[in-house]
Amino acid sequence: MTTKRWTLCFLLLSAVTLTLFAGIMYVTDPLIRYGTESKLFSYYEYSELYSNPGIAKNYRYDTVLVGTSMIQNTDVQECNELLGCDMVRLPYPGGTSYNMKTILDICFASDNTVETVYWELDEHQLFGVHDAPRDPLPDYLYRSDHLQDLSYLLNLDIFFHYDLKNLRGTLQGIEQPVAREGETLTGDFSEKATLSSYNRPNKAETSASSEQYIADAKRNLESNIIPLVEANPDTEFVFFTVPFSILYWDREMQNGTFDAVMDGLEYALERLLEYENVRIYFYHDEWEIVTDLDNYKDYSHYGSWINSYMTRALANYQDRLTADNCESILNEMRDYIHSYDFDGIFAPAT
Amino acid sequence: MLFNSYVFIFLFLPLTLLLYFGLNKCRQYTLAKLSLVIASLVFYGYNEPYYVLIILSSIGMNYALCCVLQRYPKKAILAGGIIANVILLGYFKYFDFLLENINRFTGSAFDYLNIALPLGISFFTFQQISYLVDTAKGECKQHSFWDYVLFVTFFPQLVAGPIVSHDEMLPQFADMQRKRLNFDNFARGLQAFSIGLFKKVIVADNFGRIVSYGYQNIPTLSSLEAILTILAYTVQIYFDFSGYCDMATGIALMFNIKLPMNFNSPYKAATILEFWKRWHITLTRFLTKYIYIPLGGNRKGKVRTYLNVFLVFLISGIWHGAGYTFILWGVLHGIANILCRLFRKTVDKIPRPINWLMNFVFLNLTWVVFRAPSVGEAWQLIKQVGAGGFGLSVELASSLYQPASIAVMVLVLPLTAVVLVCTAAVLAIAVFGKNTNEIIERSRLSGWTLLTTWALFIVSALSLSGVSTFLYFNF
Repeated sequence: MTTKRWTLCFLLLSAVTLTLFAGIMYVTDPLIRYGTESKLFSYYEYSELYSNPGIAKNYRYDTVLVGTSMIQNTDVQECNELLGCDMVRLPYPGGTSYNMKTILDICFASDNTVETVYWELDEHQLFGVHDAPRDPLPDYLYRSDHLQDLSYLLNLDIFFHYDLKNLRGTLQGIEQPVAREGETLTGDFSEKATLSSYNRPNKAETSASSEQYIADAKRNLESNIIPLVEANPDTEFVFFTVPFSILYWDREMQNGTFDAVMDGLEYALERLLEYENVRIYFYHDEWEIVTDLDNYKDYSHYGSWINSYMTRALANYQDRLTADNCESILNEMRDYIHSYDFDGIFAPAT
Repeated sequence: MLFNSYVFIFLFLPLTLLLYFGLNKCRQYTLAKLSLVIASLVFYGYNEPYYVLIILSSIGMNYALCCVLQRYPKKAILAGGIIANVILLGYFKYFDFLLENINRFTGSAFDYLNIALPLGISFFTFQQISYLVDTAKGECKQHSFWDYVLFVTFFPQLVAGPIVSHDEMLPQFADMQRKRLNFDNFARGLQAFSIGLFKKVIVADNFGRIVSYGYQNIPTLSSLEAILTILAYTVQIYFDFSGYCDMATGIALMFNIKLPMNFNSPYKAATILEFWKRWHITLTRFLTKYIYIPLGGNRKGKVRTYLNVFLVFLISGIWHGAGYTFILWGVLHGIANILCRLFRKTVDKIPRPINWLMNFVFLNLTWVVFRAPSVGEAWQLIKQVGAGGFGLSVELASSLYQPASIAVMVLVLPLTAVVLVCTAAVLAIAVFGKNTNEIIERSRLSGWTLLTTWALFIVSALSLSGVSTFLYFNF
């Protein structure tokens, strides 16, 4: 073979292979970058980090639900019926406020008119890092310029992890759309499982500084939350806190962080209440749920019936926090936790 | 810009090649050279445009000094030039390290400057020092400004070497024969580039995941995990750096420029002396010519020779990074070199496989010092080898998931076996296989080489997405 022929064959062969591969990826579009689900697959492999940007960009909706694993079991169908909306759910387990802002930016840049954002707001988003996602994002899926298309279309990893799995699921006859509407967080929800998975920290000798928590909350609010609220005055932002189990608060008490967390939370909620397009619902203090460990599989994650409870509560405007009642409700919670017999949870049954 | 990026492979490289050979074809030789300079500066400043200012300042200063040295080849001017280069490098690379030590030993609290290290500054500084010295010695004729800029910035070797000398590069740029597209060079360039890309993207980056996991979890590693972590870095650093150099060699060949060989299967070495003739050859060449020999080399007795060897390795360690781990790494290699020279006769009598094994173990242990965040953690990892246990955690076992997913599907091997088999196979290739330079020089361009080169290129090109950095960009 002459060197000229070798070179031309190599270039031609490579060009044809890469074009073919890109063509297959474009047509199958396993992460719905170019449109909604194709008729090719009945099954779509889903992962929050990889699938959410496609859903945010290409689905039709008027309402978005964002949050952490606390909303993984929220039933979108139920939300649509009770809240009278057309919703997509975009969770990021353990997500930071940066995660939420990144995906909401895509939602607001899409062709949809976002009327309402339901935002599950937790302490992790308020007091965690403000300038990074929880896990490194596959940037090319979160950016829409054409150079990023190459990273998607010429991606063996996505082919293996999504295309082939979609094909396998489809051949097995599994029906599963990209945005799964039901329960995705499973496990053994029982007091026994919850207690056995919990490692109680030793009692801290000092308490955390409220100033630090307030400063962290300020950074997260001003970097990732308030800019969205201000930039979209026609969108209603409905923030809600969720009923973590009593063990969650035991952990905060043992770590000496409870009072600082509450002060940071109060600061954040009061800042948000300043905006007309914000509503807040407070479910941290649903004590009947919180103290019944059969609702949980670990110190924070609850079963889908609690998601359902919150959906109904939201639909009924139950436990709304206002500028007038914010302080008193948080003080009641402080009192409840401070007077709670946490050691009793771990005392052997008599 | 990275070699292993879509923008480089599908846009920058084809356009630069077209422009360069197109202008040469139209007999616009100066413009063709200028196009390479501009392309190189675009390549260099792609992510951080202000780096271009730094490199151009360094080039301007050095070229002016060379012009002065041509007329007045005084030692004082040369010394001033070398010091200016070392200060520039020192400021960017070692200033914070210096402050850290001042703070540590005097109890002061100077704020760190957190200076970002410009890409490849260690490489282009050394390259320019060599040009200055050769000019002062009268070994270098006056070159035009653009020739000089091209010599320093030629993008294939700009950010991570090889460290080239003017006498091997500038005559090639001037050679009229090399201004026309040469399919033989082009084909071999494609071969070297594809092999290098595969070594970097598939081998080094995936073994890098084992390394990251291992170094982040030192206290909990089992013996097997600690050994795998150590071996994985030995694999990563070789395939990463030599992969980069293979790509550089390949790209330069496409332009009909032959870069000097930088790696000659270093893990085949049976002694540390042999290793340094095979590993980062152009750095050894630089240190020998511009430090070891001016210090007296081996001409001033045994003690001075050993002292000179030690100094060279100490400087090599410091050059590699601002930290005690790098200094210790240099010191250990220096001592090993001296011992090997002292007991050369005894070493020569030991069967080669035993020498090889001792040397390979030494290299692995010193790479731990090189990679670890601190000397303490390096020692902790080495101790962890004796921790007992042969279990592999799921996180470590799945580190090679991407390439291994193919193996898992085809061979249905458990992940643990995949990790062990891949590590053994890659090390066997490094120890027994031909290196890229041997492959491209000796192989016939047949249908088989076409197929293998195509396969390496395609698998690598389809695996480019993800976070990737070259280890040697920071040195």
